[in-house]
Amino acid sequence: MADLLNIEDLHLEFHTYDGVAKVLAGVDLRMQRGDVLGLVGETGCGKSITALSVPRLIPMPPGKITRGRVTFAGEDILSKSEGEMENFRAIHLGMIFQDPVTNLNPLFTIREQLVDAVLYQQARGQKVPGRWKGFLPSVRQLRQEAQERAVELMRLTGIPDGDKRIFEYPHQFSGGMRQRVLIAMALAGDPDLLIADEPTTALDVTIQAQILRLIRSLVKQLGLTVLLITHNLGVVARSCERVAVMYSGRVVEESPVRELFKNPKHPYTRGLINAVPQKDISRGGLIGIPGMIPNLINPPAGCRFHPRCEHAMAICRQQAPAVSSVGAQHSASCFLYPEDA
Amino acid sequence: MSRLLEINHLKKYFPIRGGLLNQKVADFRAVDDVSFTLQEGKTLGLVGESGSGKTTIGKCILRLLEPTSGQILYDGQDITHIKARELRRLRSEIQMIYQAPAASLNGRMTVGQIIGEPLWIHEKLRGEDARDRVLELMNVVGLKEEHYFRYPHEFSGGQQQRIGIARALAVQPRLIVLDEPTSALDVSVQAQILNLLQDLQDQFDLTYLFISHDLGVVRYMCDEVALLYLGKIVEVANTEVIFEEPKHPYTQALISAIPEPDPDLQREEIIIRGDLSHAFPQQGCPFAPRCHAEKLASCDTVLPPLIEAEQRHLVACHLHPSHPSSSASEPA
Amino acid sequence: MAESDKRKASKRNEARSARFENFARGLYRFRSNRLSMIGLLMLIFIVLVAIFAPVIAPYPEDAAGKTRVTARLQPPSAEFAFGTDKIGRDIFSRVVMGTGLALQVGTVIILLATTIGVTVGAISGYAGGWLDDVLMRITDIFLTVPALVLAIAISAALGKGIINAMIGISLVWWPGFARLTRSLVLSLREEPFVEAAYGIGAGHMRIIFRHILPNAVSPIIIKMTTDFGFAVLTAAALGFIGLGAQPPTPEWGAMINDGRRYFPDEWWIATFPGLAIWLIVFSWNLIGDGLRDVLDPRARR
Repeated sequence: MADLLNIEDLHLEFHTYDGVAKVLAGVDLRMQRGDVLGLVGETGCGKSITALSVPRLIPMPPGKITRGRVTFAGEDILSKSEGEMENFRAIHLGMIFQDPVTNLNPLFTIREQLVDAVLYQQARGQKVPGRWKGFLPSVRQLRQEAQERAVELMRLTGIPDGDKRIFEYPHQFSGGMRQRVLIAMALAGDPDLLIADEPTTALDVTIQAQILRLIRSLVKQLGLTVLLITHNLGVVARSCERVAVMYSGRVVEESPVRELFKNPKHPYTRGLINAVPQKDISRGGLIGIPGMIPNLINPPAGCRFHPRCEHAMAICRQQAPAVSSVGAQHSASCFLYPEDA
Repeated sequence: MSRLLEINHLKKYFPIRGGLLNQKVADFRAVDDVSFTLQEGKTLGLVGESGSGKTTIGKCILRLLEPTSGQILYDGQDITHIKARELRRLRSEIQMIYQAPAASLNGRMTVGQIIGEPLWIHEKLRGEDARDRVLELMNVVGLKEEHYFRYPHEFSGGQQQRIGIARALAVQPRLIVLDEPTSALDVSVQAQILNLLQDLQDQFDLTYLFISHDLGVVRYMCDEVALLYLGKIVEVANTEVIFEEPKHPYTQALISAIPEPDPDLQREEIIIRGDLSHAFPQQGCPFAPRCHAEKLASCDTVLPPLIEAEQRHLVACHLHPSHPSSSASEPA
Repeated sequence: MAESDKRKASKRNEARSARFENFARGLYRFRSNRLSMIGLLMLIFIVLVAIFAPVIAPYPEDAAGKTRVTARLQPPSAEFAFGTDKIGRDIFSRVVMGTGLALQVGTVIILLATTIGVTVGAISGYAGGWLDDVLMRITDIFLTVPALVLAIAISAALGKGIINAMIGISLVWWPGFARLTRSLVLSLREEPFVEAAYGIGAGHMRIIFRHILPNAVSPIIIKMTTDFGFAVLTAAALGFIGLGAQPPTPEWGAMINDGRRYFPDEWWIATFPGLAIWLIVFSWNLIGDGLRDVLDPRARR
């Protein structure tokens, strides 16, 4: 099957006073239709930037793509004009972000915002069936239909009494409900890919569990393709099928979710998993990763993880490791592999 | 082993204002009749979601907020209403580590000044003497000597938190209130800070009140756990007991919601409906509207008291009546 | 001993280098704003003119009121670059000689207004309660009367003269600073680092002077800078209606008033002092904008 999304060797820089920050240094990522891929990593690893390079929402300047390709359903995204991108986003992408409070306008009701989203997606995408068939419907009728669709989206995202609550303002919704509204808005255009950037980070654990369950059920019901960006390995374990682990601008390991947790290969992935306080770890038994994330302006030469890595070898300081296969659908960028070499 | 801190029936209400004249129309019950004790040298976890009142309790103990009613005993002394002079002395005994490391440090001061400030306030130390102590403290928390003249914004979150820890240690406190000390940090750094806190506890005989929403971290750090829901304690027990046999339906739901990094973990996932809402019926159990357990008639009408359902295991739930053998003894 | 001295010296160097690093970063951001650099160059030019006025001015004695009956109302020429006024004084010399006065007037007004305003605002914002109410109502009274009218009234009551004019303007200028400082203090008071300062046992004075005010300095400096030009403008307005510096002092506002009757035929008498005022207001505004980029905490990394 052809890839839905293919990011190849993406290099991206930010120009700052201190110098040029090499934020992405050769990211490779592929997604097929129906994939639920978790992109995990810590602050500054470039996971959000990678995700935002698909809708091309990175401000340029100061950002600059210096190398690489991003293709979506065979189309080259980086060569599109700004106008083409607007249509592209409306037709193909849905996005949800971390903060459900600031992403809704407090001055408008949910109806106005959700209906606007539906109408916008229709006008840009014209993908919803039955539209523009033979006659130009009146604005009133359009809005009426859009509202019906909005209520339907609210039902789909588990907001009870959507037909009544649609007339309320965002402040009348709790954090979890607002995130559901945002998911509904993201789904308005029936997107091919849903990009969820830390969708549960600002929420309480019990609400997080609700939202993760919702995303899982949407995947099942609508066959949604999801790129879930998170720093929380537990969230990935609960909701994704595949995982890509990023460290300092590169994907260092990629594998099906179960395999990654049972059999992590890259020393960074291992360190990350060990750093989570799990059951049966006694006092003093938690192992962190020594040191801290590297400076992006003067990143360490070779493998950017080598200063924190207990297995660092001479070669790690000189060149960046290539991706090698370490199992079925499991790859890692580390000189420890392939083991027989 | 002695009780270092004892909280009795602590309440903190904030006025809700409204109406034409902006008068008080109701109370927001941030903390509503909370009692617990903390043994010297131990760590008590105070767990709850946002709005549960856990941070408010911490601030009441430091007297950064005035309690509405109730009693706070520190080392046997009633500190609920002490005056400014004694309060200053108290602040060399009880310290706090804050959730947002960057925001809790004054950006106009260097690391040396930040850590040295309490030394000046409490011991009138300055110059050479202060500097040696500051450098020693920096060494204890894992900062380097060359960081002395740097400003907080030049550091990563983990290091900023180390600065905050060094500032708290400067006064040689006995009790530290840790308010979500790692929730703003990355996992790999979180592990470093948690281990540092444990080392410091052993080294300086510290007692911790560990406020957190992250049960995984609490399980690793705490000897005892108290769960808060809407300003009330719903369950208290030893850490192992709470995680092995949670009794309160809310505790059960929270534990099942911990996102463990283990896809094979076969666990019944309890997803509770709705959100934390302060608009619950004033009689009855605050958790009743969201409860997934089979409800009793009394759930909606009678507030369940916090009682000893098992030896040293306190629960506030009608489904768990008092343990027969312990019903005579007042909960400790 | 020598060892510890060396260590101390190296420490001092580190402190200096950290401060220098911040300064360099600020300068970089300021320099990257071309308009504010133009403003700064304009201001440097103005200050140099003020310092070397007696050297630059071809007829410095004209500022003291020397008259030249033979050369009355001369248009700009090689001899009199900006022309001459009704009693034959060289406008160019008088504009140049008046530069220092304008800068002094602006400085005094702004410093006085800042002192009063920051004190009132800090007390009001930090104390809260009835004291806040009282101080803010007083501030409101000053703000409800149009500033210029009030300044005129106060100066008139105090009597003519540049000193009284400066006092009058300062007295209408401080409420803006009080309002700004109060709002800054109110929000800073809620910052976690202030709470942390309480937590380590810091007293009120320490919290105000060590924690709150240093973090409020940037917006206050920005306001001082942008207000400077307008303070000069207001002083000129008082001079224009005869309440400021008295003749023959080369005060720009009074000079414009002199030229008023001869406008537009002898346009140069009023135009060149006006341009000088414009230059000073404009340069400070440009600098204020640049400083905003440098000092605004939201722009800091």
